[in-house]
Amino acid sequence: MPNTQQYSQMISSSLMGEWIVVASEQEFLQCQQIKTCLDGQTLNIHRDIIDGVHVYQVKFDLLEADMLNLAVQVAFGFVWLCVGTEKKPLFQLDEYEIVEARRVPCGAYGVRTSPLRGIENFLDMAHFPYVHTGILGAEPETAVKPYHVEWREDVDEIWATECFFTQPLAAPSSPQPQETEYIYRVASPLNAILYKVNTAAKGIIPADVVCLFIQPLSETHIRAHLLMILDDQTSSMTDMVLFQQKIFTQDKPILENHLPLKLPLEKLEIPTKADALATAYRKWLITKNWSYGVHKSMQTEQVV
Amino acid sequence: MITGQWIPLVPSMLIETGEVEQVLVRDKDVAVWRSMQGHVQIWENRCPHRSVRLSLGQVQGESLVCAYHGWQFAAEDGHCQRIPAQPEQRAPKSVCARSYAVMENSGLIWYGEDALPDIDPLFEEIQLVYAGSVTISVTLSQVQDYLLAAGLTECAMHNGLSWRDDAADRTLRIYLTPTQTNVVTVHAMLLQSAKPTQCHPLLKQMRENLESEKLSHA
Repeated sequence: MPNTQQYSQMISSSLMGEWIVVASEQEFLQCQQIKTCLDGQTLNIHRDIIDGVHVYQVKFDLLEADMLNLAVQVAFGFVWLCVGTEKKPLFQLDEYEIVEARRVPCGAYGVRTSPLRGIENFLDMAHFPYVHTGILGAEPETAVKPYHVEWREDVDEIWATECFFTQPLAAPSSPQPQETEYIYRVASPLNAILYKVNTAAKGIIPADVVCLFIQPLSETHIRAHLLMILDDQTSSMTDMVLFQQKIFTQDKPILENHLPLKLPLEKLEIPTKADALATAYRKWLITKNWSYGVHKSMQTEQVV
Repeated sequence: MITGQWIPLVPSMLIETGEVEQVLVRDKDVAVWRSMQGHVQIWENRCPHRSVRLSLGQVQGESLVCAYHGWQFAAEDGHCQRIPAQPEQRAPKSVCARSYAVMENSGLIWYGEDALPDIDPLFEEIQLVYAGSVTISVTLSQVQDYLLAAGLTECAMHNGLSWRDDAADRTLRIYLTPTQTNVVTVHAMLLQSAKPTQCHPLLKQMRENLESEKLSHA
């Protein structure tokens, strides 16, 4: 029987104090109780209605609730958990509050990769012509123009702005490739947001928003939760979800074929200028002493 | 430990022109590919950019292109020729795929790892036809013991990885790939004079016998 000291080591120290998605509110449409997992620990989430409001209770199967300080909040259509004292409050997502914007939760995808690989892939544009061919990019427009990266220390987030990428058929109405402008925001090591700037003169929101919130099941297994907040008033929900699903299923085989799966923070991999955002992300993880999902050079991962 | 010698890796006909395949050898993940001009390469299965398996990539002419960001690597020495995200700039010289020594002989692709092994002067080219492979979850020495007990003999100077059957069937050759610590891939090859077969019966027999032995000891 593990002693109380061992309990607190059962959740990786990197994850302590982080706000992490453990469920989408959509998962409770058919039932009031679900079972899920965080860092190898089984979680039970129970939903109640108190005074007309949904209230969620999160409990670990093995860990005593009073051994750990657990906080739960509902935001952006998700149930968030924080184990231990929060490092910082949950980030803001202003577009979610705009009534006329279309909120499109796109489900959760299981992927066998490190949460950090998942985030880095989301922040990368150079793969558009190769992984999302004909959709987000195509040869010969493969150049990633230099963009601006900064660490906003007041909120402890990494932002990349002036990210331009030439995309085929950016709009159904225009047969010419168009330059799309992106803004990337890494709100925390497991949560990233991208903004696709709207060029239309009149829009409800200045940019379409795509969010990736990662639930780490283990250091090499994740549930990737996706949310979109869109200006588009005409496309059906199904079409929008299917689009995001298509993009994600193209990324999945790449994510599952990194060797190692975990992210190396020492000089094992060679970045280019186009990887400026990924490089900033890795440096940021180093300053945080982040170890979860990180490859240590003495380890050799299982090949198969 | 087998060092400085050639290890049978995969039958030549399994790697067609323009194809790249993942192969495991001694717990290592390698990408085996054949350029459009027919030259075989064995590379570490890892792009130096983000460590994605090169075996997901595509052969284009005399180059292998990574599936993730389209980085292009030359067959001759693995150096990076092109980084599409920076089309104006030349790829840094230090960026390359790690290549291993390779030889094609007698219908097989052989792996030499880091050191270029001496080519055995007796290593003559013989015309062999592929007769199937099996993967068996046992150690290399268990397979070798089995072959010995079955009356086969080791071919000289091939570190126990090449076998012939002088007793029962002189047209048969058996080659062993040490895939992982407890996994061996056994390949059967036949002299051209023999009747061709997709899977030599010895292979299935070997797997059944060795794996049932395992179960009986469990």
